[in-house]
Amino acid sequence: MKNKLRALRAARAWSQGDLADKLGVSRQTVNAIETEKYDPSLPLAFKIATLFKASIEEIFEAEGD
Amino acid sequence: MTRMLYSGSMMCKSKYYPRLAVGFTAYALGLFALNHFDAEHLPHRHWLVLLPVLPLIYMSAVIVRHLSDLDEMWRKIVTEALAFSAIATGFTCFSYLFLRDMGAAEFHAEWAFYLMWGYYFIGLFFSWRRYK
Repeated sequence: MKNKLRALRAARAWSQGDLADKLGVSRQTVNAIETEKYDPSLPLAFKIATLFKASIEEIFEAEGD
Repeated sequence: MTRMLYSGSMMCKSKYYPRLAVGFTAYALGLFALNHFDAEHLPHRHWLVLLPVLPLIYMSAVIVRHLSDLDEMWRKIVTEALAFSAIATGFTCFSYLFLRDMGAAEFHAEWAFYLMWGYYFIGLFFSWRRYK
């Protein structure tokens, strides 16, 4: 699943660790989501969307869409 | 809102190791008591095996609780490793019966324990590499 997490994080000048702390996950999880090796659960996707004040569809894009 | 974002995972990390240490200590004491308690003439002496087993049950509960508190990606990695370990250990133990029937040494139950950990770390390595 493609996502704009890295760009959104960079726009706020947050490190992966900062974002991980805000989401309550590990830095490795943030890195895996950004590199599109791991798709977050729906609750985590909602947390990310809430944090960046965007909808899930604005951040995540399913392959083939 | 910030409070909500912080909640939900990795909260019990600080309690995990102390609880595990308590379990290990109780296990060691139970094992020590079992080996030093002269119960040969007691009618229900087999119940004494609970001395080390009860702490092991407690430690199992602590580990499962810790697993459920893990960050969601790590929970997936560890769960995949545990599944691989369980399946591989089961198949190895079962397959060894054929070797035993062909003349290999008798299977010892403790081998399954070592196999389980070996397969767990192999599974953990490969699962972790997928998300690295």
